[in-house]
Amino acid sequence: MNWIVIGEEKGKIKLVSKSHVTGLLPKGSYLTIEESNSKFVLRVDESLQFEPYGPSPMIIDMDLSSLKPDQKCQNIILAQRVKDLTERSDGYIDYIKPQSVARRSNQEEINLALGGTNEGTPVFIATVYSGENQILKDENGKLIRSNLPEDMFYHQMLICGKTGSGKTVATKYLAQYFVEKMDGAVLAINVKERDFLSMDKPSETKSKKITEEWDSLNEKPHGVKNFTIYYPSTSRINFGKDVSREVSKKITLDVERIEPESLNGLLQGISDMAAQHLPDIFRYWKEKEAEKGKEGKLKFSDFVRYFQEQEEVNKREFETLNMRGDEAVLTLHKGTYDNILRNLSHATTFFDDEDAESIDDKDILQRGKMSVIDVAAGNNGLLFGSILLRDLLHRIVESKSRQESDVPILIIIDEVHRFYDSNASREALGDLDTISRTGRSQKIGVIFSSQNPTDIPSGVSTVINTKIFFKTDSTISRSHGIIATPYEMDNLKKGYAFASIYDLSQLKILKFPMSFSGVFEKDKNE
Amino acid sequence: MEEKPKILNKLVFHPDFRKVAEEINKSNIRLPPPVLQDLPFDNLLSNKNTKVTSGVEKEGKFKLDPKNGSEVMSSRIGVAAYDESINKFLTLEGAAYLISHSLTVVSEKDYLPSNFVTFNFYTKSKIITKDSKFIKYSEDPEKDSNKDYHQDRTNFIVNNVPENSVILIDGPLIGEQATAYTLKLNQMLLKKGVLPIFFVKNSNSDLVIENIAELKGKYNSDLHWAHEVLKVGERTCLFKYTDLKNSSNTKLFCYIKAFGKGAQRVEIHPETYEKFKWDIPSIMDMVYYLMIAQGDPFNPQVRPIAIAEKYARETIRIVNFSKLMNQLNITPTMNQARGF
Repeated sequence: MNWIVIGEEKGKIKLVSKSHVTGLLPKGSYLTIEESNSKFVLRVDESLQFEPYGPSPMIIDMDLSSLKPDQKCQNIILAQRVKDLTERSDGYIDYIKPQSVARRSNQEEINLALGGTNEGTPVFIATVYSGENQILKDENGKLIRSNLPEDMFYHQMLICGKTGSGKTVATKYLAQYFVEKMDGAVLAINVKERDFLSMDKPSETKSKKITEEWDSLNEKPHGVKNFTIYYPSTSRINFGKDVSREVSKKITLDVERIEPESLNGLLQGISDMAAQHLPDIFRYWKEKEAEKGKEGKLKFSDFVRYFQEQEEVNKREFETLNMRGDEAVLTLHKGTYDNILRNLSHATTFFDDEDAESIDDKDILQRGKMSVIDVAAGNNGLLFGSILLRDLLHRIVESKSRQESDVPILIIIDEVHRFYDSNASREALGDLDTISRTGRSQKIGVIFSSQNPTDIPSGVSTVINTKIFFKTDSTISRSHGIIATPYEMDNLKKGYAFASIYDLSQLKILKFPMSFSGVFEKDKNE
Repeated sequence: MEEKPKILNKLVFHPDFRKVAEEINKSNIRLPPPVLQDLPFDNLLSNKNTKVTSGVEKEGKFKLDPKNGSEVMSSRIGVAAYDESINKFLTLEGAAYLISHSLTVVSEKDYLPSNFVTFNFYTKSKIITKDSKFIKYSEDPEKDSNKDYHQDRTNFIVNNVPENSVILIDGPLIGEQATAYTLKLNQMLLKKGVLPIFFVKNSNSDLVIENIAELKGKYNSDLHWAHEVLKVGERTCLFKYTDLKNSSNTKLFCYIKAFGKGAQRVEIHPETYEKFKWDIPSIMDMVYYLMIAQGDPFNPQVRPIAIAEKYARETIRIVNFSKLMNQLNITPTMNQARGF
């Protein structure tokens, strides 16, 4: 199979197929040209059908069959030169001369062109032509892959796509890679249905294509071995075939362990300024109770009672203790006081449930462990989860800062837009902003997954270095530097995505293998 | 056309091509931009030495069946077509001719072109030819180039056309200086079992209207007559032309009207007719079909010849001869430099 160089046009190399090429080479494919001591790898950016002898319309009008040669088609290609493998050292760049012969690149050449390594998350290089997506194959029909660099995880990622586009499945795949191959810890927040709750179970599919993909990676479907679901004691999970009771733990918040700042998340309908007082009031209370020797016996309800009593005893005048240890006195406005009290009373059920466990950073920062906090169940699940997440994030960062743990961690926030429902979750996103900026050095990675990238906190979006767009609105993806036509974007099949990958800039279109765990496809027998 | 002859899909240069160019350069001759040269115009006019008769087949006109033509096309072993493109360079020192001979075989899946490019320089200057092996001395460059052209054409076609095929050739079977060469070509093709058909697009000949009594004085030319009497998709009967001075100069011809505008003359040799008599009606249907397949009412021609013409022009363009000649420093005559 050969293509011949015609020349250069608009900065791209123009090629035409030889007559034995029977089809179009889709966009995203790679071609190699070898000339004496030099080798060039090109990426196909445009691929068109050309009819050199175009039949006369009269043939159709008169209902006559066309001459066979008049049906001949050729493939015209515009390709970007992505890699020159040359021994030239005189400061010039080699010409790619007209009439040079190009062939489909093999895996090794594509690796060289993309600059990827053999380490990293394997994905398939994909192609697109009109509404068709395919995995790139070499001349022997072998699927061509690339490896997303492991460092990508610590440079923060954005995964976008409409429902059913494959973004959650891809996120699961990345999570499984992180725990199994990088020996890291994953903390995922399950906000929708049972998305992340079955990761301990092998995926199921009848699709031959997916099986073929797994085979090419030498992988079989398998669950994550060390997997735990944490769910609020105030919620209920419907355990079943896909969600196991054995890996699930009911959790509660521990008033003695919770970071005072995390309590801010409880407050709804209150100004930020007023909300800042609660952690200092709580810290003071906790400190004084400890001095009284009550450490280990404190309950959140005690704090609510204390807070309540201050209305009558001190006319809402509170003593406070800030993070630096400075004591002060403040009086809460009646409206603010009432609001805080109402929210505190409401949150009492989140704390100190004797039938449930409380967790901290040590439960999460374990090599090869995937932890999922299920906030999808129950009315206040997201509120609970957000307070817990914030608390955990503080602890994880602190543990890492103090070098108590060197376990890499990946935090997955699925369906980010749902995190705008409450103060608590917004606060958690704010903390993630800070982590995203400092996470690299401490091996903390964050994946933000959303249907719309505008859901991502504006601060965070500037530190995201990897963007993966499954089927989504092309105007949105274009604003993120992803060049795909509306038609190409609208017709992306499940699992296929346009991407801009950290340290792998030449990879533009990819297909994620289906996650080895937690995905159950019942009726795909293709 | 199952088997692909080795020569097809090839561009072959005459062995002396480069040497002629080098010698022009050595002689300090500068060539101007070329002009596209047509073959001598088909101006066979009726005179007392020619005779045209009907009676080869039933008189009148015949309706052509393009569907049958399409089936013939798809069932026949092979169809080929020939055309050429000629660039002429007029210089102070003589005339240069760059010719691309183009033969296209219609195969099952593709048009398989083969092209042969020649370059010759003719001059009356013995000073120039004295030291040259490849620049030709000529008293009449036009005549000598025509001779070389026909010899090259005959060899090229005969050597490359598939045996037992039909070949469609652009140009007349009988026409002034070309007659002897073309008749020889026809004979050689028949020996290979090839059925040659010749096509004349533009003609002012009046053989029919001057020789058939009832048509005399009514029409301006044969084409005028054919246009008036034929409906689209019809052909006239075959007429026989004989040169009374040289009875071997004979041909059969008819006119085909494929579109609303004009008609085209199709010529075959009587020996061809004798050999392929029973195939001729179907071959005429095929010719009509191939005109529709080309589908150009303003320039009606059969599709394979149109493709051969394209390749002829393209190979001339690929050679980029003007550039080569400009680099070789060759002087144009005044008219050619002005574009006359």
